[in-house]
Amino acid sequence: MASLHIDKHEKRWITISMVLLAAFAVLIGVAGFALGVQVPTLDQKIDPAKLDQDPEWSNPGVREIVPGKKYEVFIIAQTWQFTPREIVVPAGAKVTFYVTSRDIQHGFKVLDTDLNVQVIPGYVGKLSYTFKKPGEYKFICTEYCGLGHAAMFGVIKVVPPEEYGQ
Amino acid sequence: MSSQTPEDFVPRGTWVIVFIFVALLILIWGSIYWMLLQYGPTV
Repeated sequence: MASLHIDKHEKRWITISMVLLAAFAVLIGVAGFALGVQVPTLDQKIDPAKLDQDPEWSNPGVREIVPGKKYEVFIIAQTWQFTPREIVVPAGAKVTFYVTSRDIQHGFKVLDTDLNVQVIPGYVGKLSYTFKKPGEYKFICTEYCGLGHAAMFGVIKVVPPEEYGQ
Repeated sequence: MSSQTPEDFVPRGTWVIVFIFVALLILIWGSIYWMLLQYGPTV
């Protein structure tokens, strides 16, 4: 029975391809599991028509969980605005965002970070981040949602911890 | 007439292109990976 013949140059090319694929896969595993760079998750379901009756969603904004260290931010997207549009958090604190939509599909992307999630009515997107440097981080809608889509943005003001709450 | 057999043939031009392709692939992939790491953890 004749064995399968593979040209030696083809063998080398297959080897290079396999090594590259393995290296990329390992590096993605390192980033995801060891360094904590992960894709956002859809955390829970919620009825978009009942957001105003929900104790957490009727008053969206920043919640201080552990002063200076841990914060939660509830954001509602709707045509064509985010509520709240301005968020203030201290630098160095872990901020967990919960984002949902009141009407149609939107997107939530914080520029200069890899915070990026689809905002789907009926679902809550959850993603966490630690803003190390004070400054202004704009967030935008990344899903075309109609005429006012381009005006759908907001800003996260990251202030030095000693200035937070003043 | 050339006495070169198929086993002796070395496709140098192809290997140069392969080298450029692999180098570009690693460079572009690496730059995106580096950017991802610079943005920081999300959990």
